[in-house]
Amino acid sequence: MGDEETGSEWSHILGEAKAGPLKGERLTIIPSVMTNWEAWHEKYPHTSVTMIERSAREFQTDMLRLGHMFGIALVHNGQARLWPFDRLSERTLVHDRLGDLQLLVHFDRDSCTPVVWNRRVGEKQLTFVAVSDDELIVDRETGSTWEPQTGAATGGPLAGTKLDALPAIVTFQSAWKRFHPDSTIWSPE
Amino acid sequence: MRLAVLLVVFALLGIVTTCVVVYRVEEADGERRVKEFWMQTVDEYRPQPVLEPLPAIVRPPAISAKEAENRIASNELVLGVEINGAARAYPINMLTGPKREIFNDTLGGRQIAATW
Repeated sequence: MGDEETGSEWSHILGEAKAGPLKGERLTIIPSVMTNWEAWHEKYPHTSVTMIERSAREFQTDMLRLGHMFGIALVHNGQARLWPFDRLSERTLVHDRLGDLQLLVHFDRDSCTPVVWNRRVGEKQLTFVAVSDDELIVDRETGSTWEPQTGAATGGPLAGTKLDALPAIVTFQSAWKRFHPDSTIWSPE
Repeated sequence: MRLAVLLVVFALLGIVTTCVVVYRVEEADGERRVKEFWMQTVDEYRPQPVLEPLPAIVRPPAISAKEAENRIASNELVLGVEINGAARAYPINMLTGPKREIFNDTLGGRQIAATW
């Protein structure tokens, strides 16, 4: 992509200017989530929605048929890691680590929603287990219940607390490997 | 048939962005294959633009969830962002290329670009 103000050329996936006056500058990645409209609207009833003419129709929840091509990925302190959708589908709650970050990776197949949370809250490092229907998760340390899609604690001692969202992005697996040749790739044990 | 590479929201340095396409996926015999990539790596910069620069899309219209009721399907994928209590969904079917890919927008007091 390019910017009109300086004519610099930017890499989408790195968020970095590769040529032009701003070469070397980096954009800040803001945490976002890919999900379906029903799930987003339910969690954020006050949401607005951008509405212009569609340029495609193929991005539906069934995009998971392309799970072998896509994944969710994160860079932290120069370390890159990719969680491929087709591997996450085997296990929805993944406790993982990237450098000094303790992570929770959750993938909701019904709404095609991958999320990556920091599982440290204050001084506590939380460990999560899924409960019955997989809609809510519970942490072992305090017994609080959490919504994995919003990172919000809805019950128990930590009710009202939110997990910190990390700036993970949905990406083609092949593109991620090309731009981050040293990236590690998560695999179930 | 084209699919996008990634899902990112960037904070802008007060910059409006214009798009050049990065890759292309084509569908043949019901199977999708990546046909073309913007060839660049961290160390090399050798872009191969496949489109002329496009006009920037700045602040595309947004409506309330209630107004959107019959205009978006429940199973359509969106890129959802919440900033300072303000939430917005960017339907990927409206954001995808080849002539889109970037929405320059303002949300929760921040200047952002939603890209796909």
